[in-house]
Amino acid sequence: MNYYVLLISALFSTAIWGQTDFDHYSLLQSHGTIPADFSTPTQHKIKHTKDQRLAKLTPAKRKEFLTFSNYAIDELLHAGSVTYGDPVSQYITSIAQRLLKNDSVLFKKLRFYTINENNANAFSTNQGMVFVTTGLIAQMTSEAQLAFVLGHEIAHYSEGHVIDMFDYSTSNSGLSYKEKTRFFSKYSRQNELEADEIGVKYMHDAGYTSAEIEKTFDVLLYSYLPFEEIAFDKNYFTNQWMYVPEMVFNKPKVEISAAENYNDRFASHPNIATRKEEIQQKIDSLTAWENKSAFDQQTFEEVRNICRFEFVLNDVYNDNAIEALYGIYILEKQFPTSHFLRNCKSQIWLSHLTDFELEEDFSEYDYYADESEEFSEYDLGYEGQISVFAQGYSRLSHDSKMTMSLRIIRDNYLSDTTDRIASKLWNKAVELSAANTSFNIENYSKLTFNNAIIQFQKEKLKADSINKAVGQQQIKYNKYEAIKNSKTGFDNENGIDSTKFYLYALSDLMVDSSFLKLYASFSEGVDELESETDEFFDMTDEEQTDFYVSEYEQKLHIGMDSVLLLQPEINKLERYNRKNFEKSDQLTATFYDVTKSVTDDLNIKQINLNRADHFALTTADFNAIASFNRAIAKRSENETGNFIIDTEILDSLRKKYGTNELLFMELKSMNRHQISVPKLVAFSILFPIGVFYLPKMIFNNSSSNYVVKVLDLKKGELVVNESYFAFEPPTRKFMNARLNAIFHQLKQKK
Amino acid sequence: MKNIILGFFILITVVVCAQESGFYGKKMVFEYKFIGQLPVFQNVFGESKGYVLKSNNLQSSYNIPDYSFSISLTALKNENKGYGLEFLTRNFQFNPLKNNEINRQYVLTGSNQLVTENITAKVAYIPLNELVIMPKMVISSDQSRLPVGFSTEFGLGYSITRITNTHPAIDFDTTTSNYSTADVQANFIDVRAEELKGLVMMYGLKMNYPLTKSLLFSLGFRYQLHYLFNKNNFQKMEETAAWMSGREIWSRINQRRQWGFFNAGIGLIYCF
Repeated sequence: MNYYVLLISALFSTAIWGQTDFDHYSLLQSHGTIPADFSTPTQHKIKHTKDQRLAKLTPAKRKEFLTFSNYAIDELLHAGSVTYGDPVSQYITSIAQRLLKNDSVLFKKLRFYTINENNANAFSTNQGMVFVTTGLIAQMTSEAQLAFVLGHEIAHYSEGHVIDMFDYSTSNSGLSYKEKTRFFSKYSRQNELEADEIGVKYMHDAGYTSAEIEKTFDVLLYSYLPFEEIAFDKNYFTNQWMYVPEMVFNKPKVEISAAENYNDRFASHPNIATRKEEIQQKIDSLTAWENKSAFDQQTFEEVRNICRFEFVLNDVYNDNAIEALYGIYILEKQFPTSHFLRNCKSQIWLSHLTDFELEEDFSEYDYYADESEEFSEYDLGYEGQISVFAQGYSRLSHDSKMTMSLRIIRDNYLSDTTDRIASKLWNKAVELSAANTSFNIENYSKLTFNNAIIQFQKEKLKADSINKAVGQQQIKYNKYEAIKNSKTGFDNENGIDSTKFYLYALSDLMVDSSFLKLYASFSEGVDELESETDEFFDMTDEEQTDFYVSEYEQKLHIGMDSVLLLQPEINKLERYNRKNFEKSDQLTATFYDVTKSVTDDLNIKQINLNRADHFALTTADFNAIASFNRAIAKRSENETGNFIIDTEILDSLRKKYGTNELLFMELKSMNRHQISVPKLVAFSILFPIGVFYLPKMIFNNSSSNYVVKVLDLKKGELVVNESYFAFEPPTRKFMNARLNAIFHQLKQKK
Repeated sequence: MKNIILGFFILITVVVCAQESGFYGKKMVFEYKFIGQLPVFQNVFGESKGYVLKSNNLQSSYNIPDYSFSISLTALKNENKGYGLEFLTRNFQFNPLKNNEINRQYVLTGSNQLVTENITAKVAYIPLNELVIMPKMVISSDQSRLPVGFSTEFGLGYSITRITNTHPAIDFDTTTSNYSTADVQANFIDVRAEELKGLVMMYGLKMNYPLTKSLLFSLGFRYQLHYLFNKNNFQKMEETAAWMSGREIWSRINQRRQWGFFNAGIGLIYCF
């Protein structure tokens, strides 16, 4: 029967995986009915947990364990990075089913989810959830490796290691912190070795080859490197319009330093050498190993590619330019026509066109200048093949990067002018160039680098022939001509200055009237802004203050008549900044009530997209929440409005929910517990300081910090990002007054 | 004074036009407050006990009563700042005794002879009333929105302090004295010192808790420094035959006012 189920699920899965279009890759999202893990309220989970294994804990410990583990896992489930029913989760489930073909009871207790993040990791919880990161799968080379990891995690669950560890860590209260850490680490390492052994048994019974087990440890050991080790092509950026000298990428690669036999005395896992050694004995003890590294290699590779595409996208979101570009470089070899990869590449390069770009180490130096610098490639922290690219990229001057950005984004746009994202990226690139004071369009040549060399040779020949004809052999020097030529990438004696290769990279644009027109239109806008700035500097101090006040007051005026209220982040912190989960839950419920009453009062249409009504949440909503969370987090880091690649998704969600404004709020309430008898005594003695300090201490005991973020879904920009800190308790009345003021302001038009 | 009031109302008309301030859009704040002195400084400086009249007997008692009622109107300029005017009436008292004695020194009429007299007596505290008109500024802490939450206030007020009973209850051994109780009572206070003018510098910490959409409850602490004008205008001991000369009254009241430095208050706030 199990084989039939497996076959059907494999067919179904193949049908889904077969649809993956990597040229127009769309994000990894959840599918199907929302699982109970995601829809059940946390308190409900805590009250209805029936796990016999918890019986060994004392009632107090059991309560603490259930509260903490359920709330922590639920926070993870709703953070936006976990997916269910997606091709990766389905694939993981199918492998787990194969591993547990002889233990269907255990299989039914388990649920498998994907965490979309680049760290290579997997873990299981006492509730029976097994999580695997996309970053781990992206690094693997076979299905068997994933099977071993899953077997290991299933063993953690079946052996109750999570509860064991909690029990162990909360016992032995007489030990010092150092002793606790050491003993806990040792206990944890023993559990890991036990899980490894059971994982091997699952692998054996499922028919996988033992040869892949050791390789799994290599995956873990080298997971800090990119998912492939491919030499970087020094001519990668050179094309018909742009020439980038090979010597930019001429630095040798940094050797890989990871070692298997590291000190694991305080680590939760044994070192790789120990694990390999221990596991070999188990492998040897089992006979009749099958020889399959994958039951379906094609499916494995497809799932891995999904994970790798997500890997690149995560790097784009995290501004890991070097990792993202190298990842794209690898994937482009397999998917040379992928619009997704091109747009990711454009998005990364776009950041170099801003006026206030944060330069990485060394980038202010010209790459030739670096030859004389004490340049340590180890400072960049990259090893292996990526280090070659990283060193070259980091040494590119700001002007080079700026020009290369425009060139690459332009080429991406031209490869398919119907691609709306590529088009938006191109428009944004031109807009940023026009606003960038470092970008001077007059400096750029109308000739490509090669044509410029030919032109130079011709002129030199012509000049030589004239000189010879008139019999002049004496060389004439001209200081001012030399300076002028140097600025335009010309060297009087040697011809074209290749360090200024970028000046020849936009030759087609210099004669493209549509580009020049677009550039001029953006430049006009910049001029207007500059004149406004000049006007500001001409104001008196009083006028400037009024201007600032007016700006401050109008910050929140966005004319919001309807709002999509995203799941708020509400934390009630207590002593030592510990989150009180139950009180946070209660505060969240109060927050919902208050927002509802405030929006009703102010006649603002409110659409809820949150966990307030758990059972009404659909998978589409769940995916939307994930997209919104990601978009807001990204824009909160950098409010310049230059993040383009998710704007189409945001626009489609705008149409779906019928509102332009997405509101995300955070409330962090702290109770400092700063009033104590010793303090009262101390400040009574320290009269009259206490006369001032004690009242302040009483009033400042509670504080609330509200963060208001409004994402304009049409523009894809964070139009409001304000924070309000006040010494006030987060009671319903205080909250009502605060939210009323905020919503009232948001409703005003500028 | 007229100018202050006029200026205040002009200010109100200006700030009412502001858009962003207020409690549910209400930008005028009326506050009624009770303020009581916390006798920390009296304890620290060890003020000696005085007397109060209870059941026609003068009984030893600490100098406790010191309380005020105030009303104020504040116009909120923006989320963080407001300007207001406060009227405050304060009832308190001072102890006329020094080492359980009253004494006087005066030049005998028709001669240059300086007469010094003292009587061991019990004299009730002299009740005082102070009226203060105080322009003030209220500033919210951090990003609190006035009038809700924690705020600080600063004010500089003009005060008039009056002795409300110039004939305090007195008891002494009349058998060993040349004077009757009524004589001393009638000539106890220098009449030229019945009203003293001065300044009040105020700094306050407040926490306002919303109750409804227009009403708030207020808790606060207040620190007040006092200054009395024109000490030299009051008669010295030898210049008056009264048992408490103007200069003496000035000094006692001045000291007593300073002891009222630290106060706590509760109040109700109505916004409109």
